[in-house]
Amino acid sequence: MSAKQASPLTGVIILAGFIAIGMTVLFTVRGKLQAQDQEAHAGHHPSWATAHAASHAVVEIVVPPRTAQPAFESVPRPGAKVRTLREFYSRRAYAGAPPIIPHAVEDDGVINDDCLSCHQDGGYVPEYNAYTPVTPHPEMGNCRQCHVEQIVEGLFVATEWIQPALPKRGQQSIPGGPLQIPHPLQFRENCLACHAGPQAVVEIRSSHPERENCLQCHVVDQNVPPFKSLIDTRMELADVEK
Amino acid sequence: MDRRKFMKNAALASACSAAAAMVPGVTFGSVQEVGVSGSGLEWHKAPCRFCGVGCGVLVGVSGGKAVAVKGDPSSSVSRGLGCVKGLHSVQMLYAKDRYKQAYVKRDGKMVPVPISEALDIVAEKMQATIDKHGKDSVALYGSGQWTIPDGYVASKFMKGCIGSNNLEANARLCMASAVTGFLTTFGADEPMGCYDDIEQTETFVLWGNNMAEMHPVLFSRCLEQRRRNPGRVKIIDLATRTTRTSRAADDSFIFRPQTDLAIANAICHEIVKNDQVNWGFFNKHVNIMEGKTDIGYGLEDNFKFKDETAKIDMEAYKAFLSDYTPEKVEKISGVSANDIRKLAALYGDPNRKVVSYWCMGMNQHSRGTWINNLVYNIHLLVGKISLPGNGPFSLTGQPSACGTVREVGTLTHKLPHGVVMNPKHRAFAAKIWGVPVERIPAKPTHHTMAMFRALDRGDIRFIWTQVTNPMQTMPKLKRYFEGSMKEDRFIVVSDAFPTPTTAVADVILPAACWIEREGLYGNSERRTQQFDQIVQPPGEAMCDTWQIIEVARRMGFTKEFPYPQETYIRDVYEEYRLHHVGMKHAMAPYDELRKYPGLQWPFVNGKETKWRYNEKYDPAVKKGSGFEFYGKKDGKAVILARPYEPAAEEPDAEYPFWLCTGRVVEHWHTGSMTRRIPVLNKAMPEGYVEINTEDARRMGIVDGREVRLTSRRGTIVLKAKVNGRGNPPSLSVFVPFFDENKLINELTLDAYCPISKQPDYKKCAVKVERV
Ligand code: SF4
Repeated sequence: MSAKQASPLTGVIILAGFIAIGMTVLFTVRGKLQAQDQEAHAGHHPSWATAHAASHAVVEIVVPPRTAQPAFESVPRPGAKVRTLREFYSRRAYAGAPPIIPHAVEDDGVINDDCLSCHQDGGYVPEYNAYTPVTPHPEMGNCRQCHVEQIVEGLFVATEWIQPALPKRGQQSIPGGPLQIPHPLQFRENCLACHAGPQAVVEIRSSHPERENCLQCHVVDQNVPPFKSLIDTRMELADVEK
Repeated sequence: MDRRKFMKNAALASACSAAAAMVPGVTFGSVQEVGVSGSGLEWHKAPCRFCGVGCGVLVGVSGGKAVAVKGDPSSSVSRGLGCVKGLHSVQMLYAKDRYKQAYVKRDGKMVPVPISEALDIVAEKMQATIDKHGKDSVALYGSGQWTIPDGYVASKFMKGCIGSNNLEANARLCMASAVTGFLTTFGADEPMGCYDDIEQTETFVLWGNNMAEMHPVLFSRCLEQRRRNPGRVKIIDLATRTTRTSRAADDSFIFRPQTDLAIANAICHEIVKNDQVNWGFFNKHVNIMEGKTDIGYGLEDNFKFKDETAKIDMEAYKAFLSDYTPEKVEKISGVSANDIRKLAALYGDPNRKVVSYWCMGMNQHSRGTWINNLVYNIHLLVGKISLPGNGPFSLTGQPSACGTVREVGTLTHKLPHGVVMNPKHRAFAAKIWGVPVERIPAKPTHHTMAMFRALDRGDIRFIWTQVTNPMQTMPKLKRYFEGSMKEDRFIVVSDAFPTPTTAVADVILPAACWIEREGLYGNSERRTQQFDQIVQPPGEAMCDTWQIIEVARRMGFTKEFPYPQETYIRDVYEEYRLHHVGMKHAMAPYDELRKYPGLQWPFVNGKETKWRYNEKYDPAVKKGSGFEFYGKKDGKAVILARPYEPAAEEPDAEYPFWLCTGRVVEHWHTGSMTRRIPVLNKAMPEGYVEINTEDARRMGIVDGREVRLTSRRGTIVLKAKVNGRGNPPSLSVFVPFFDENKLINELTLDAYCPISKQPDYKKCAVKVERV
């Protein structure tokens, strides 16, 4: 059986909520949103973001004043290490899995302050001669519940696990049309975290991050499966290897 | 400024930049669950395999293999979240050493045999043992990871067919004190509230519960609630060591092990003294009672205890509480009188909502029933119970400790509805089962600890374990390990992986794991969650329910197990549901459960009951009564005056350290599943011992250096962790139990709560030496 789908009504309410948030973000510097119908959402929590909007009367959204420049420098400084898709996938058990923590961290942390001090805004780190990847979900509080350090290489027992196919890049519904989004947006609503700025993954860096409202042109591909079949997994991986 | 402070300040400085989502207008809940056909990934709902939180996950399947997991956005439990275990869970299914066929011991060696032959051997051996030594010489030992149908057929098989109450489950080791706590205070098991309390409350008091690691998704919801209500919502940590949870909390109070009993009484003392009792609620809905004291620790074989309670009045209760002034309790617990008052004020403040959360800290406690009672006392005094955002809530560790062990009742004294001691309950069960009532014995036999002692003594000769690993989890392990290795004991183990328990087996039955079969779990908040068979089990691996049915039929019980293989899970569940008819415990129908990530019972007229005992939410409550604790005849809950009594074994000159055992976020229980997940093993490859920073300095122990721990029962060498994710106070150490190569339970003590019979894994005395 496939998963229960959100009812159309809920969808509309959610969409309305998000558009409202969107407008607030886009057109005001500081705005307040009154959630309209708390009861309608009781029992349906399609996302954290909606849950906030739903169960909380006042949502305060603080947006920094816009300057002419986008929030990120768009190209890395010369000589700095760039993030590649290969590296990106090497940190995930499968596309969409939470990435591991590839550097030493204090073992006692839990609250996001420590992680966010670098991973909220990103920036150049001389120590690594690289740019810090930016989290697409800085609102999530308990980083270490999903992201763990890897302190040894070996396995407890060997595994016959097969990594599923990777999202297929470069899909268009018509030639010359905008690229489709080949992965779900769950906890990845902030496109720019991976697709823009000097910390972006080089193969999937957007050529026009200043346009900001990505989803006006790019949509999640609903017809083509988000992942290809297992058959060409290794090919795609090999592709990434190069 | 230290590094931590600096980082925190830096984070604050940047907190007002960067909005969370730069691209709004997305609703992932509805865009991604497309029916993907053909060669792509298909997503199927299931509850997570691991902890009692019961997150909803979506399992991605491609080419017949489970290849990905994501949080189910439509699950009201997890709302799209998961933790690192759940999000990588499918990887365990493909560990190279999965059992794909049955094994039988021949000439001291395990040889593969067809599963039908292994099932023949199990049935024959079970029958032969019964013929030779009687019905009570065979036992079935299951688990809080049993699905509901597994547990139900086990109960019907043992109690209704064989006619022995030798049925137990490992939830005895994790939730028994919660059960007896609920029964003694409310007369009915399982929490009144639900997870929705999190978004309604203002105060989280965590009693000995490292929620950040053990119930991470719920803890995320708590953090979220605080983030949205800055200054108002508080997280209070009461613990015996500093953990990730303590660091995330607004306040952390570290107490001496076992003295939570005194602290809870001190809170009640203050509430009564400051007249913060909710008299309106109290007078209508609460009785006060006292029970036996100085009740022992169950250390000796054939230990017996029966509590006797008697009503007392408020004056007597006040006199009892006078031993627990904050000043007196400061001396016992090490928590300052001021801090105790602060805690009491949070509970006492009539304008503040409070929930209490706990798990193993209170349950694995030689006074486990008592401490559960005492926390209920606090909530009952101030009337903060059965209300949204107000209430005590006992969290579970296993995915179906509630659903299977507690609700189906796979314990020696239990029936799916009621207890074996009650003739009416026996008749009710016998009728549904279609068996003569005389077959169900009226006397309970062995609880888990006694069952393994009986195996050691030879009173039990045949034991079949499913989905559990007692040779790693029993306290004072050596005795029970040696017992199971004795001549003329026959051990059958159903499992998916080799474990220390399969190492002592005479027959190993390969088990279909989690989504390789159809089933249902029930989580901490009375939520039943159904899952389909999503992928094929490897080789001859077989569903645990079906294994029991096959053996039962081989022993002649074909009439009792008529279910066809195509529909048996649904059929078994629908039969089980008959035991719970009525507004107090009605379960949702199977076909409804298939449609949703999960539904809570009581499920009455197509609606879940979120808060029990409150007229506003619970249709079983008498109209006009406001609240009714209908588990008790007079509808009143009971405040039980339970004193502080010391632990069974406390540190002394020879063994000066407390030893506490537990879990880590990366591994679930004995690690037989999570260690086979590459990400998790690489993050947490072996067991270790947390040592207090000062103690380590004094003893010259540095991080990573090997140290030896020794108790009166055993000794072990572990790497020290100094300044790690946990920091125990001076003269105490903490060791996780997931590592089968570092069996910490060889050191633990088999003392248990005399009422719940649940052992205390959190307290015994050890010495620590540099190696
Ligand atoms: S282990 Fe527990 S918290 Fe983690 S995903 Fe599974 S149910 Fe949720």
